[in-house]
Amino acid sequence: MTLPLDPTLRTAWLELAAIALLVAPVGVWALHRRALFAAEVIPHAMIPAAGAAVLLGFGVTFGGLVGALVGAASIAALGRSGSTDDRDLDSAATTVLGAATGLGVILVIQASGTRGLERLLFGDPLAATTASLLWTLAGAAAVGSLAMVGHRALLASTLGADAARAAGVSGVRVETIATITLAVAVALAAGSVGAVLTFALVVGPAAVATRGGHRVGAQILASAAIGLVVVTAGLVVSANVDVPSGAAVALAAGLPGLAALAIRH
Amino acid sequence: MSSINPQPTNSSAPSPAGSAAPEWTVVAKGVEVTYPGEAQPSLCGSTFSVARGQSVALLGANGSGKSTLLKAITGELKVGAGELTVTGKVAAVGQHEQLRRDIPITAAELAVMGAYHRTPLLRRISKADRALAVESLRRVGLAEVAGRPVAELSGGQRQRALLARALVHGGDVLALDEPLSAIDPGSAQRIHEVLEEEKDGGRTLLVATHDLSELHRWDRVLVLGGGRQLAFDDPSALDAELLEQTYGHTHGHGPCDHGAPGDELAR
Repeated sequence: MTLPLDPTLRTAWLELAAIALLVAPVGVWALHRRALFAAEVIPHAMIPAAGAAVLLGFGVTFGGLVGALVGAASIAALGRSGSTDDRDLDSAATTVLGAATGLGVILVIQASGTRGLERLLFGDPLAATTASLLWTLAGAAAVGSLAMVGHRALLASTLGADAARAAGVSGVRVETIATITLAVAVALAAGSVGAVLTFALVVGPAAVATRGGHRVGAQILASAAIGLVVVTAGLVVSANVDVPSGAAVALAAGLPGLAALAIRH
Repeated sequence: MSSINPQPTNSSAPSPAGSAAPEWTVVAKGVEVTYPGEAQPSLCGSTFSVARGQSVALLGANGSGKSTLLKAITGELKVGAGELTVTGKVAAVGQHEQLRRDIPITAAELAVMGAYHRTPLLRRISKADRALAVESLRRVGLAEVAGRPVAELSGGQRQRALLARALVHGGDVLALDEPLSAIDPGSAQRIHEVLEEEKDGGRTLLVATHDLSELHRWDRVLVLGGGRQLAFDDPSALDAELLEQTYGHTHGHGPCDHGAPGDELAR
């Protein structure tokens, strides 16, 4: 059995481990805030912006980040209904998903052909570099810090509008900060490992971690730990069986959730 | 028959702590409130005064304007016309506050939330506030379930945990929207006891309720119907006919559309 010890595999493992840490807080909070579908759509919103950036001579990462932020802002704005605290993120996210994917395919194929589209969707963990690793680690530190600082506001606003008011928390402000944080985390991860694997790592570990525990903080730690296990397992499988590393990690990220569902039923 | 006193009533109000001149904490003069996006006001012409340490029960059928008035007092809704003066801070618990049960939070964490508004973003909750949360949970009879998830508490226990949060919140006015609805008698009794203690401690209480059998507990009763104030008086002075009419049928073809105050009673 091959373990991820050679330099390429080691960098890939470190990159994926850093991504697991990066997305653990946003995954758990996105799940509690019922914003998982929005989290899935944000990487797709990166695609047209990345294609446009390449056509205009900017970097893919920059374009992807702009696309993620615009996508997240669009979902948040479309999902907020008039004068009430209610929100309908799902229909807003669906709207953004359709438009972004269609436009993205056109722009990315114009810019870099089908290979570019494949890279944006599925990424390539083995192509991770020290620079991308450092960016991901910096993002993980920033998102983790923000999650700790904003924990009380997130908790109160997630419990309900009355709880937020009683705690002196502005629901709109929390929503904005949570959406931006989600967008930045997803953009960093998807820029490195693609949209599909990012979503798998955001949702899979968080879905299992939130099944237990009496505190959100404990769930985030559990999600990070599960994330580390699944990225390691996926890379080990990929190194020993001739399957793409991204697909192997995505499968590994989904298996614990499927197992939990099977046990429940 | 009771009637509306358009002026702030104070002559028969119990003088808090024996003081000669009441210190008014809530003064409403012709208050009108309209929900955002609505054309018609949901509350109009409400006029009353509540002194520090007084307790007021808000009575009225569903849709009568009780929640609207409380939301105006907490600042959640803007006063469209008239004048509403609240002296000091308000701690509130909304009507049937919907706490999501899938969020992992214990009763102790819920009570501590009352201290969030005074805790700087980068600071931890102070030891004093944590101790206050423990004490508040003890007062509402939840000390033994402080570490239990809110999702596992009964309806009455959840309501008491929310009251504990309001106790930790502090402030001069406690505004509770139907805290006694759909809870067990033991929880109701404990809530009454805590409210009595708070009143004795100088806190002003405004509590929406449908419990007509416990009106003697309150210093004042404010009766609302169809968005209009029908009475503001001592509980012993309230006419049974008024209460019967208030709960016997709805006072509304639409909000605030009943003409002059008192017409409803004449019908």
